[in-house]
Amino acid sequence: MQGSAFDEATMFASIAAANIRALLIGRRALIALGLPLMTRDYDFWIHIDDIERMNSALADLELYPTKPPDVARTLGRYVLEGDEHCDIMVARAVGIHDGPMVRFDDVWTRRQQLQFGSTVLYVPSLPDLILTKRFGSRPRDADDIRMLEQLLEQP
Amino acid sequence: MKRPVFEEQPLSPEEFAARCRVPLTEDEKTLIEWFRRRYPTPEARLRSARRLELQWRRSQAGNKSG
Repeated sequence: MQGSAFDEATMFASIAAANIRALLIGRRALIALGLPLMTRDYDFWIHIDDIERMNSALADLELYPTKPPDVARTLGRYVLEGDEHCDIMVARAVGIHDGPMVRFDDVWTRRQQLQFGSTVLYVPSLPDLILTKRFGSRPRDADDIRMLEQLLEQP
Repeated sequence: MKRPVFEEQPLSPEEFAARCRVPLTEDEKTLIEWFRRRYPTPEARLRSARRLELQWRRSQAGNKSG
């Protein structure tokens, strides 16, 4: 897996051009906001009705779905895979322990727009990004929350 | 870059909350400030991370073939 054929700017531009309701989440979003982290993957949370458009938009980058859309809708997630690995969450809402249901539509409404060259990408607001980090509850998610809270204090 | 299994296991709600409460060290704060100053835009930050990632992949591929 060399990753040489993949172009990140083209991926973001393809998603924007197709008007896909896609939020970059996970560590890649944290990096975009200014946290010094490493990651291998791209994580997106997209609207459940935009799966087909997402698959079509990224097919030119030779990223292919591991599950058909109807199965992805049932599972709430799937993967687009090729030279790169994109985890795609499609759930309408996700529950967290001792917290609210986190609904895609609400997070989308509060999203931040980031410029990337001549295109844009969207990430959740800082408080929403913190909520998404509670989905997995892994040790590194807690570490990421600690850093995100630093950004909340000093945006 | 396969992570150890324990790093992928969810913590209990109590463990997770406790870990979230650990304050950042001064070194961590300094590193964040440096990174945001060195790479002031989302594009610069993502491109920087991508460069590092590709370097890491190449080094891993070299280690495997060597």
